[in-house]
Amino acid sequence: MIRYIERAAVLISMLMLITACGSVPTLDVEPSVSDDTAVNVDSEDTGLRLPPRETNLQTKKSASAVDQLLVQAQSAIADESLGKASALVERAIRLAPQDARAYFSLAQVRYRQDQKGQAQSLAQKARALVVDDNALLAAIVQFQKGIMY
Amino acid sequence: MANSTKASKARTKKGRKSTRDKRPFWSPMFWLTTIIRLLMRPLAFKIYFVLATVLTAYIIYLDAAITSSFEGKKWQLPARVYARPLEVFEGLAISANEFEQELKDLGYRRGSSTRAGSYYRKGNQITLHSRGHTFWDGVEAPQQAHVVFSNNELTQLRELNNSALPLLRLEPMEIGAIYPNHREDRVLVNIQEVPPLLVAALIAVEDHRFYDHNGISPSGIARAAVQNLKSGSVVQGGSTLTQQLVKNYYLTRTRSLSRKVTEALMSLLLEYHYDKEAILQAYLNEVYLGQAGDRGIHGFGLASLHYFNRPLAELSIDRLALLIAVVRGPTYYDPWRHPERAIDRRNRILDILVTRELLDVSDAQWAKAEPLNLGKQSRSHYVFPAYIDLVKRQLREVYQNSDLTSNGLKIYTSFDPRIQRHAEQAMIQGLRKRDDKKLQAAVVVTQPETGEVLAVVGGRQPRYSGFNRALDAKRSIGSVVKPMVYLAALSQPEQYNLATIIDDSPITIETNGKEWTPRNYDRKNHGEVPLITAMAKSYNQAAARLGDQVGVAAVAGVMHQLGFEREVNQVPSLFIGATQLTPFEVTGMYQTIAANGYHTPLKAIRAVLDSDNLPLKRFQYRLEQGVQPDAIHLIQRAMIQVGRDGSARSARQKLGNDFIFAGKTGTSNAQRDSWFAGFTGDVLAVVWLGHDDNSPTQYTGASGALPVWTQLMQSASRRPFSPLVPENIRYHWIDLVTGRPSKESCFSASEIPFIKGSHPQGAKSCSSPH
Repeated sequence: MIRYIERAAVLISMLMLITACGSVPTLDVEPSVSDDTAVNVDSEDTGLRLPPRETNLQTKKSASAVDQLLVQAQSAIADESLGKASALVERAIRLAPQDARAYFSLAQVRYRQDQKGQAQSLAQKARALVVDDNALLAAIVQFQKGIMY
Repeated sequence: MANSTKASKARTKKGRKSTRDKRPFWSPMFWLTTIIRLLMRPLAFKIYFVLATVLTAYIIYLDAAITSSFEGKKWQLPARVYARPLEVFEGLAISANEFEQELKDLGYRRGSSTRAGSYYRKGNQITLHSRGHTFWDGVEAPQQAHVVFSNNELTQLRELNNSALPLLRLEPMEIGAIYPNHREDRVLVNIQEVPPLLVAALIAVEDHRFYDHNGISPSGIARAAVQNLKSGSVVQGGSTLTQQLVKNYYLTRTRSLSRKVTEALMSLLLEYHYDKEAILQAYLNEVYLGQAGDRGIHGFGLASLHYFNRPLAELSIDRLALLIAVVRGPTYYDPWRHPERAIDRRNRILDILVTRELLDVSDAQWAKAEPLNLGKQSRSHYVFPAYIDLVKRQLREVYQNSDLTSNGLKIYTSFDPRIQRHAEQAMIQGLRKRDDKKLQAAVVVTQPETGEVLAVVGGRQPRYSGFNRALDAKRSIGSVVKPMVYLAALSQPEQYNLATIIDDSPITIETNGKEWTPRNYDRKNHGEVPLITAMAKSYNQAAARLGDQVGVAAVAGVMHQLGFEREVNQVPSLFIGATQLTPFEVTGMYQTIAANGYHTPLKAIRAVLDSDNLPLKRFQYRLEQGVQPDAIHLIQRAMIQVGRDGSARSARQKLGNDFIFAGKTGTSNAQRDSWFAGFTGDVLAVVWLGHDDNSPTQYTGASGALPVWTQLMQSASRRPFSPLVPENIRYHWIDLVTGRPSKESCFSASEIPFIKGSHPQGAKSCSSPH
């Protein structure tokens, strides 16, 4: 059962990576936080409405670099080179420290390294970082259930 | 010799009686007793025999000594410490100038991009040829790439044939090394990788009969003697390369005849045992070529980096000739101290190369026209002492000192030279504005999600490796503690939320018969205020009252959950920060807040490789949920308010209204310590200012440390803080004056997070007109 869930999780994340690779054309420039959209708040104003957290600018732009590392990491996992996989995913995390996929990948590596506590913490962190990606969220939830049982 | 014969006679006579017949034939004593028996023979024979025997024994001794030096000498290689490699990808927040600086720091040549370690820049476009590097996770091959920048961002990364290149990792800059006691330093080179011209020139200049002699060159000695007699001083050494190598193994300054004989004998023996190639290889790595402080520069590999800040394989002809020039006398021809001498000698060497037909006349001409082309002196060594100090401490938790100083380990860190520069500049500017020569400073900078340490400044003179205040100065933290006090309360959502009204009227707390009466910094009472306002404006009376309600143990507990490891003195004055922490310890706690309650120990080291590039130890990224993310989200919001309308609002004017950050000022009693601890989306920094003797300063957290922090963020941070909203959090509009539900349009309204179900109920109203 656990193995099945685990495989499903890996498969789903692979699929997502592949779709992500295809969906990040380099000219996809998102609106920058420019002056014309910014509300000029004078210093007396205490109010603040935090902007809704979008897929982070940095995360989106670094996507293809992160994709490359995560794909390499998945093949390292497949070869059972877990040390290498871990190094690759950690590198991805450094490139995009708020990319949920990278933390989820690291959770998978730690699980295979028999570090279930770390796997759970990392999956939890990944889950908190997911923005507008139900498939990824579902995969993480599945994975977490897999660890618990 | 006669003396030593007598001495040996005396020794051998002494030894005879006691050990005579027990010795097996392989024992040295057996041979000695045999010699003594022979000594009974006629006198002439005795003398001859004794001399021959002593000489043989001496040669056997020398042979053993030199072969063990040559073979057994595993060069003691210091551990080298590297900065983070720059990861190059589209979307990287870096300007063309900063990128170029990075290449310059790595010793890249500007002009073309045809060879590894060079680049070409035209406006916002740079074409580069990286050198490649072996990392712990694999080999990064040398790569030619084209990058384009626009508005402080790298917008395009392509291979030269315009095909996509998602990611390129530059080689890391060396930021220091950990040396053995005698401080011999070298970078090993293999003779196959050394430019052939260097080897040819070395032989041509130092020992042109190298391939013909057997270790010593009588004709060379004779010629040198004649030259020296002619000029009246020592202008030419008669030593062969082999002799020079021997001399380098046993570096002493004595120039006695017996030393010369010993050297000659050892040279003959070396040549007898090893081929020319092996001797050359050893020479290239052993020869003394300069001094950097108390560090001896040995071998051409390190000399190239020392003098030119680039690897040997990338040296031009004039530079190679200069290295050969230095061989003869690293002090006498020191190119920094005696540039004219060094140029003369270099040019003479270029002439010799032409004479020996190793170089065209035209090549020699342009090489002679070149200046010395030296790199910056001692660029990379110990210029970041506070960071290296941290690296050493973290290494000592895992390694013995001897491993660090002799096994040639490579230590990869998260040190970011760009951020370090910004931190130093911000501090230096901040101190310059304040007319207080005694004022000291410390800065710690980390990546807020991963806890990797990016930069450390240990004092007002960042190049000086003295007291590392960032790691060792335990100072009163003042209001920097307040997020922990408020977190202790917010962790009980049934009782406290950001709108909970706290009384800021005077308060006296009694413990063990002692009374403690904190005062607000402005000496005013602010009456009833919402929790978020009390925190943002750093009211002491409110914090003390709240702390008293939740209990000092709960506050200490939160500090531990956030990663603080030492014991906390559990007295009420803790509520306003009467407790001593180092800037590094404060950083650890704020790190956990920035990372949404996940505690990860601050680390400087990513990986360690041995001299064969095999990973020895990975310093894994680990995290533990320290504090529930719901409460963390609330405190993050209160810390944002510190910058919106609280004690750090001056930073908001500099960073811009949209550049959200979270943090807290801290001022200890009588302004002995000035703190600011805070983070944006990509940088977390803690700044401390104060006097070493703990005397009062003129600065509060807001007037001292905060401007330094703001300056640092202005130059180093590119991403505002954008807090994660946990599933269990709901936002509601609240009047920040009354803490009551408010309309969105009210003047003092703000949208504030609450743990689901904990928000105040009631009609929405405004405390003041719109």
